Amino acid sequence: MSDTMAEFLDVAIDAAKKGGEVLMKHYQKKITVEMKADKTFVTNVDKESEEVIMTTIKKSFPDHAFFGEEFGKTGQSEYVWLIDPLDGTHHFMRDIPHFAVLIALMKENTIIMGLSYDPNTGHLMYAERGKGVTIEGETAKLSTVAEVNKAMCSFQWLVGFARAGLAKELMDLLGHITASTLLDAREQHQSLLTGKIDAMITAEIGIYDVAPYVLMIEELGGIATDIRGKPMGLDSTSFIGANKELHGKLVEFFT
Amino acid sequence: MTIADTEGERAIVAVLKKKFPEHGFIGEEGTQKKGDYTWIIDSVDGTYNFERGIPDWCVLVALLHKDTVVAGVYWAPVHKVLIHAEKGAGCFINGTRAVVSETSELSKAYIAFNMIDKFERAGLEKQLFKLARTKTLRNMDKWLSFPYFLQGKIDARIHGPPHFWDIAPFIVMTEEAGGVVADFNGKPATKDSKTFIFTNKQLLPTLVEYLHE
Repeated sequence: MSDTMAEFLDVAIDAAKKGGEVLMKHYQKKITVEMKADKTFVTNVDKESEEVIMTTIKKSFPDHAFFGEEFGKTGQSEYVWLIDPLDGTHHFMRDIPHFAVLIALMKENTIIMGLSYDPNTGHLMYAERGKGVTIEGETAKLSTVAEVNKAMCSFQWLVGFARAGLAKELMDLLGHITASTLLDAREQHQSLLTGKIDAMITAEIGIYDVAPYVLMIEELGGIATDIRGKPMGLDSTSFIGANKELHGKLVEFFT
Repeated sequence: MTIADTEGERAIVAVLKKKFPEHGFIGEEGTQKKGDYTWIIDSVDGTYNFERGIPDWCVLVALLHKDTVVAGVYWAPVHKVLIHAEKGAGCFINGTRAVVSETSELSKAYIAFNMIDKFERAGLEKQLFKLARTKTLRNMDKWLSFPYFLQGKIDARIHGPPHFWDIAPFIVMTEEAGGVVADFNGKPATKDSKTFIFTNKQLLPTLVEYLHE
């Protein structure tokens, strides 16, 4: 079997669905009274899901490397799979059905494929470099809002901005934009990628939290960088994604 | 205001006026004060989502008797979620009785907020970021977080100065679901409060203490 793009995507979708099955197996099961507060339990679910995802991918691509939220960096290869087996742990723990499986593939530090899968609804979003974006049931496109004071921006994880020393900058930005909240990161990204909101900004993330969305934004002609405008890489810890005209103007607030 | 806001409000007022001709009304279109009962209406709460084709918005109706909220309704027509509450008669979400959570420790609580600019304009961003450091503070739209709060899945909602019509129904809903509504100083909330905390009885004093440390 040769390494083709279509294959990467097919394997990724299969892996995401298998990982999703693990999550749904544990979801809403009150195994112990300690479940809600027991990070250990939740971590086991994350770990089991990430293991299943890695095993599925390794079957087709035994020489590839991984960077996952639970197991960290393993292997050496120009191909690195980025995995967040459960994005939205705090919702999962509380029986709130908003969480996702995120898988992306980097080749020589460029994201070439990415997907976001919601195991609650089975909804899939994915992209391949040079082949555009698919968002099931909707048309993928970015908004054309170019002015900061007309923009509706979503952001996540307030404490991240505080810990990164960016609370003042965020507040300053909020004086200009309309802040959108929506229900979780996946819905925020999906709204961005269907042109309903204009930007997404986060101040404390791992690359695996946003890699699929970085590719999707770029495939739609937008720009995704870290919060200071640097290109996204394995060690990025923040994110701003928006259309071409708006992106730079938002970055200015944080530089 | 959109056409939807205006026509929606008119439709709601028409129904209520027919049944209760002696009641007063407060809506975005204006105020008609009459007697002891006043209906407070927000026909589209979440206009900024509505306008952009994002289905996260709701209809809010509350009934005030003098200064007390005695009944409230929340209807999210796209997601088909109906919440209603009446003083002394409980709070129901799509027919199921609402009961708030019992989480009493801040480190285990999920506290939802949005409208961060309202906090900023009221000079409350310090408190907001202070709460954010507990790592339990989460951004979640009102229309979604209130149903989750009333089901006991999250533990609190906090607000910088809101329009009273945007939170009035949730006051009676919270009380009927066994919760409490107070301001950031822990004082029982009134229609003139500048800040609001919706939470359970155990968490409130912990939250208030933390905000004032």
